[in-house]
Amino acid sequence: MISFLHNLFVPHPHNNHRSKLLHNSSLLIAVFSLLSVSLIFITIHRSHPNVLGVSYSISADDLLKITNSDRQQNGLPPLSLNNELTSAAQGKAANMFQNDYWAHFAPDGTSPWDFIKGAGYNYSYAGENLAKGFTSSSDIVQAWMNSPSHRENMLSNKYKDVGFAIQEGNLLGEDTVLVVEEFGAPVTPVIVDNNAAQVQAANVDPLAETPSAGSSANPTPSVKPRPTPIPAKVILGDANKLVVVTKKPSQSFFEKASINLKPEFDFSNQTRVLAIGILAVFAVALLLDFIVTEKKKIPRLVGHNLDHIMLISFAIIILILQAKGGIL
Amino acid sequence: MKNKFFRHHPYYVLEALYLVIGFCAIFIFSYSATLQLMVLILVLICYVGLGFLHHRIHHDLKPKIVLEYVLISLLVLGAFLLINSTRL
Repeated sequence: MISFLHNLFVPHPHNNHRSKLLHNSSLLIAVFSLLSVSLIFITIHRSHPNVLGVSYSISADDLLKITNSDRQQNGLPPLSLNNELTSAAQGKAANMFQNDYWAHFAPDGTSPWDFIKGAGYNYSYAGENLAKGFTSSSDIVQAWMNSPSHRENMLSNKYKDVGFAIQEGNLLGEDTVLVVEEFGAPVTPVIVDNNAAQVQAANVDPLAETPSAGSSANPTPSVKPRPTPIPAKVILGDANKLVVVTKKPSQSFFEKASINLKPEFDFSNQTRVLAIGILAVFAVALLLDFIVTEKKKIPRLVGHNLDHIMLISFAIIILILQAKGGIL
Repeated sequence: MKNKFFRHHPYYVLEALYLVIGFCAIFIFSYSATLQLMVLILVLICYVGLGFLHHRIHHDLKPKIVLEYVLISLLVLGAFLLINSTRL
């Protein structure tokens, strides 16, 4: 066994002063095996996603519980699940799938606030977090908490309500589960005279000068939003922007608030360990080969080990750190 | 070892540069496995190309060396495909 490993990893006269593992024939076997298994997995996953795939367990309840738990740990009051914000989130998610984009703003300029106000939520503050490709509620909240701008939304004391959408579909050519989280704080209504309502509504919506703002921000004649001491502010996951509302999502967006997918086989953890393990073994072989031949000053006609070590290290780091999903 | 490194260091610096750029691009495109795959393929093409150029400049370019660079690239590609087989 020891001599086998010695032959595999350490260059010596019997393996032509090159670790056996680094011979082109050994590399060819490893490459062929990796590519074959990958192609088989990709083919099965595409044709039978319920047989071979990734397990998902995401629910609005869990997202809310974990978010509120994080807020409580930071001395903040819990958020309430709001029907209008849930509707807005579902409208946004459906719009993203329909128009195939991964952004806070749709290609046609539709903003998150369009969905929030369109769903009937009159906000003084609003924000949006997006996530896709994650497999569990805790991973999503953790990823948001690790990002300063998303964390700002999660731990803002300005928000009172939250709504989640969890939808499955194909986005940018990839089957995925998309999670939209809309935050909001409602405008508190007070009774005033009709003439004052128009003026105060303009205080609440900072873009009231936009032609469409007047109609969308106009409440019933006897009610006006309470004047806010500072201008309304909205926060996106990674950008601040103030906009007005023009659109209302349809009722069909009220869909399920959780996704639980369990394919018959989920090898995602095993394949990760296997692929990184194979690369690590080759990195060790390259390093040993490099050290021994440099020490013994053995001249050989082979590629530069340092090149290979750099590339494989780059790949290992990427594959270890590669997030399971993306946030925005 | 030191002399050898310094003799080749511009080459290693260049390699480190495109690896870092590739690393950043892969994280920027973390939302799409397809885009990540395209970036990786680009990095691997640079790797083989630069390896080819380097050995040619040092007059030790042989078919088996080119094959070695291609195989190491394919090994990395295979590992990426295996991990992302359910995202592609």
